Amino acid sequence: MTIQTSDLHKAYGRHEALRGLTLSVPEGAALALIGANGAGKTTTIKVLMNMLAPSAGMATILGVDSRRLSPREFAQIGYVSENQRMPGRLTVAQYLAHLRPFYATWDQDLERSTLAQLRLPPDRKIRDLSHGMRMKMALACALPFRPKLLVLDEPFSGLDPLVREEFMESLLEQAGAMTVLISTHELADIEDVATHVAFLDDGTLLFQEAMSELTGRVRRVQITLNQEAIKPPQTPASWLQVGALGNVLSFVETRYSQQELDARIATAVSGVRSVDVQLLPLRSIFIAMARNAQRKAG
Amino acid sequence: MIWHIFKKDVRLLWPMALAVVVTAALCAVRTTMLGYFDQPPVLDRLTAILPYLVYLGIAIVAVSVVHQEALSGPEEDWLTRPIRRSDLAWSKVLFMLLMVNLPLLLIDVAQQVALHFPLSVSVEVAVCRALVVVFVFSLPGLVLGVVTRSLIDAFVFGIAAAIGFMFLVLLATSVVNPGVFGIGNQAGMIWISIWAAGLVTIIGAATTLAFQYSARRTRLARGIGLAVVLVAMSTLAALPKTLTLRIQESLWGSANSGGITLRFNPAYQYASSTMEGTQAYGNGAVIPAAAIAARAAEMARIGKQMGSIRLPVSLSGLPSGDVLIADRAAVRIVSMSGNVLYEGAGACTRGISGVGSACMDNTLHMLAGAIEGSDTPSEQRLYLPISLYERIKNDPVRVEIMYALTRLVPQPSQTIAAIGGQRSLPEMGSCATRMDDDADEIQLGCLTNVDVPFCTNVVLEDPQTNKRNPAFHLCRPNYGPVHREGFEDAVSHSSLSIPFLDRSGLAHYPVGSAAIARARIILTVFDPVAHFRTTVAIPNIRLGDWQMPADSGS
Repeated sequence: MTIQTSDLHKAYGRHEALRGLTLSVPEGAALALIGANGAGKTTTIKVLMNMLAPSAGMATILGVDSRRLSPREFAQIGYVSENQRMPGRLTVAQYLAHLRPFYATWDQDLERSTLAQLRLPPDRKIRDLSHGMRMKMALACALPFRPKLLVLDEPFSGLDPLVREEFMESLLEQAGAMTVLISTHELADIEDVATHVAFLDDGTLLFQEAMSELTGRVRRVQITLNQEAIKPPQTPASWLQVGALGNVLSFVETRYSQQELDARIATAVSGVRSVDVQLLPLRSIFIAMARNAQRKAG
Repeated sequence: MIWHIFKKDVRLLWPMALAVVVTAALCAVRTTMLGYFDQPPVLDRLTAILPYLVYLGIAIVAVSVVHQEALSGPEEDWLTRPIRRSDLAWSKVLFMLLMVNLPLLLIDVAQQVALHFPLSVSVEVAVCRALVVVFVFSLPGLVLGVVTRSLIDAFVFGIAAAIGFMFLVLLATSVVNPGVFGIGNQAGMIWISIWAAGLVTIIGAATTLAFQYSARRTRLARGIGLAVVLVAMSTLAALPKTLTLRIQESLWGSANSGGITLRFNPAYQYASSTMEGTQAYGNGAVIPAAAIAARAAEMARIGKQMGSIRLPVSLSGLPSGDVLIADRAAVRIVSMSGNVLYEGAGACTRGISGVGSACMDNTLHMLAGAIEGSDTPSEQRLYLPISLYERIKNDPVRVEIMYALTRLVPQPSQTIAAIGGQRSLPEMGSCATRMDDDADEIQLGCLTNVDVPFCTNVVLEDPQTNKRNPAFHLCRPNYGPVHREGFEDAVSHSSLSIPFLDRSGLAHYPVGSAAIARARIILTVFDPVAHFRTTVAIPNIRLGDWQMPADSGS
């Protein structure tokens, strides 16, 4: 595993931001860490990067305890964050020149091509860059040394679609060769990149699985009935967002297989005229899961 | 990578470092322009803040260079870069040394050489001063940097800590026995407390830096930093005076009294030689009469709240012209039955309105040797807690006074014309003389790159008639290995006003206005040659018989 956490806790005073997080990111995977605001995504990443010390539990990155990450490990980790504070009085070119000697694997050709692709002005001071350009700058500083692990914390926050596109293009060119951990709200953008998904809610991991498994087990189901649809008093636990409109009953099935679905429908509903099953985009899956988590939290 | 990070910091912070260096250069120019007599006064007043701006600037640069890669806070880009923390720390130290402290050292050398001080001494003085600046400003500045995130943060933290410590000092002085801080200051040995506090600061600052760069635990690092300041302050204020005396004596090595003896001599009651004034070198600032009167009243009030005893003593065996200083006079009072009633080197009372405290050391008047074979009268003043004094003043007791004494011998005298004189005086530096604006005093001003001697006798003489005005004896002991007048500048200024005319007409000086044009100043410097202990024991005495009159408390 490139990243492994075990019963990770992080408290800020009385507030527990992480509550026993156990997470693993296999080598070569691109794991999307998703969750609502305040779920603990950024805290998780900051603990992983040893920017914050965990209150309890343990995290290993590239096989090393996160609290003992040394320059040797950081030489293989690229980090991009919306909050990253770079030296504002240096120009883009000056800062890249400053970083170069710290990385034995720094590829100047890749640096040049990344700069060109991201359309970053080399002579502009970092403090004069817009938010979007700063994010691109952070990416430009994270790619040229071909990191084994790329950690991105809300990389698309506040970016316009064009910048997002440029960002993603640069990322995708490198993605195959490294492990990626990305926390984001912009689920549509990572759908093509992420191989795994972890859903964080209130400091707790609700689930973590391969993207193919997740999209394979979650479906939107619409049942057309012969009579007016009424929300059943008891529904299977795997059904989320159950709703009735006219003679249509709809829900999100989170443990989909055609056979099991048919059995559950037969148990819960009568007078079925037709059943329509649709694939769900990641964004819709996230919303269904998040609302369910909120509902459970009360 | 130390050099690599250093170069990046230079690129970013050179204007800030340059501003500090330029201000330091202006300080040097200022001292040179103000000359021997701090003239013109308006320039002196307008530019007096410059040295403090330099020190503030050094601290700001130190904080800023650390903040280029701030340790406090989780958003810094460098945290996820393959940068060794030790490289980072050393690069910051290197920046301060090369960009700030080294240029300041060079300015110090240039200033001294420009004023014709020898190069070797100039370099030595500049290095000493540079070390002080590194340890007093650069290093603490770096520490402040590692526990804060921004200049504003550093400023707020610094001010808050200063206020906190101020309250702590007030609390300590009102709760702890004030004698811990105020008695037995042993002026000549105060350097030991300063050096000990400095050592604590250096070790503590280095520890805080190392801890924060390795562990990056800001709250704990702040705690360590504040604890270091607290320990350093305590060391400075409350290092046991008996300990400093023991350290000083171990440095001096053993010495015998050389035949000098002190003894209680009732025959000399109220017959002590006129007390020679001890003054400090300074800028000759005028003290308002109201302030002098207020101080006298306060001293009289304090005198009434202590048992003040004046014991006549006589000194024999001190060669003529030599000087004897009592660094410490600790007293032990024993009852006739053998019980120790009191031990101490002075007493304290509460200050005005109960705020703070006022402490008085037992003092022996500075003694100059009389003619060979005769005794020199003097007096020992003892200050006792009033409650103890009231209880025992009418009882017969045994009094033992344990002295730590230093003998000083005069060096060959040096002379300089009273008006318009200008010459280099060994140990005094480059000096000049002139008459003051209202023509009643001679001003002696000296520029020196080392400290002025701590004991000097100054007298105005008419070489034609050999008449002399009363001597000034200036004595401020300092037995430290390195000492300087101040650390505002590499070259310090000292001045002395020597009166020759009393415009009120009450006093008449042997060397007055008529002779002043041909008069000369004779300076005699005294150097310490021996330190020893001796005890004066008075087997049976009633302290009440020797109470000091209330109006002679000062």
